Amino acid sequence: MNEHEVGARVAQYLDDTVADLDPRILRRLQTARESAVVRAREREAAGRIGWSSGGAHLSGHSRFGAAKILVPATALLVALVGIYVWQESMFPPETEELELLADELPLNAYLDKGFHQWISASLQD
Amino acid sequence: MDFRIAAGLAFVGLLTVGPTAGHAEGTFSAPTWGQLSTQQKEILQPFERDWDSLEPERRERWLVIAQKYPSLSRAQQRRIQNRMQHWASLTPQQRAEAKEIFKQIQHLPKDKRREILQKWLEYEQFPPELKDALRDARTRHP
Repeated sequence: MNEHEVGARVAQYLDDTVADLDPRILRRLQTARESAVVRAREREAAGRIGWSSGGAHLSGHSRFGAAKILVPATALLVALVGIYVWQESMFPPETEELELLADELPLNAYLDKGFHQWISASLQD
Repeated sequence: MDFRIAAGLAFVGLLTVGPTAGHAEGTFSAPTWGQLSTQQKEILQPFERDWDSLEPERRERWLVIAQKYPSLSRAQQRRIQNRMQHWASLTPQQRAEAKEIFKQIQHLPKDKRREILQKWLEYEQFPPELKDALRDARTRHP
């Protein structure tokens, strides 16, 4: 498996699970991603300056540059896994089903599309 | 470069371990009705006739629910008993839609949730034509 295939598998996994994420978590992930992109651009710009001025130390610099990308990337990935585990513990499927069935609102309310339409404005507040 | 590939593989490993561990209980075969304890049978009584034909995953899920059932209030236990069979008879899509609405309502503040309950009581009093019109509108613009 090459680097591109690894990336494609990661992207596929994230695509498959993103639909189940809480909107607040999605917003947090988006913010984290934007910050990571900004930092990556800053590092890239700094790297270009290093390349133009330090050709003799190219090999060592390259390894250091890879570590500089990997450390925050790994931190971000660990955070993603943490969010996933946290969400699973907050809303495990069994508990969700149990709470839905035990809820004050009757089951028909969760199944009636007319009612969903009637409360749609409240849900979007 | 090799270091980056190794790190990528480690990450993929991390991502795949999470969900697998979460479904670890899926690896054993779900018990038949005859293998359930007396207490489990009492709680899951609405399923007595259909239990053995339920998919193993759903049986396992109901067993988890049965395990948590004693910690609920009497009112909650009564609601669950009354709704179990209806819930089990729904299609996976209906259950998914119901859970989606449930999640949205759960994220509302308490006073808004109370308002939703009040709105259901009002909705129940609507004439059938109005309910149908609302259902049509929902179907056209979900």
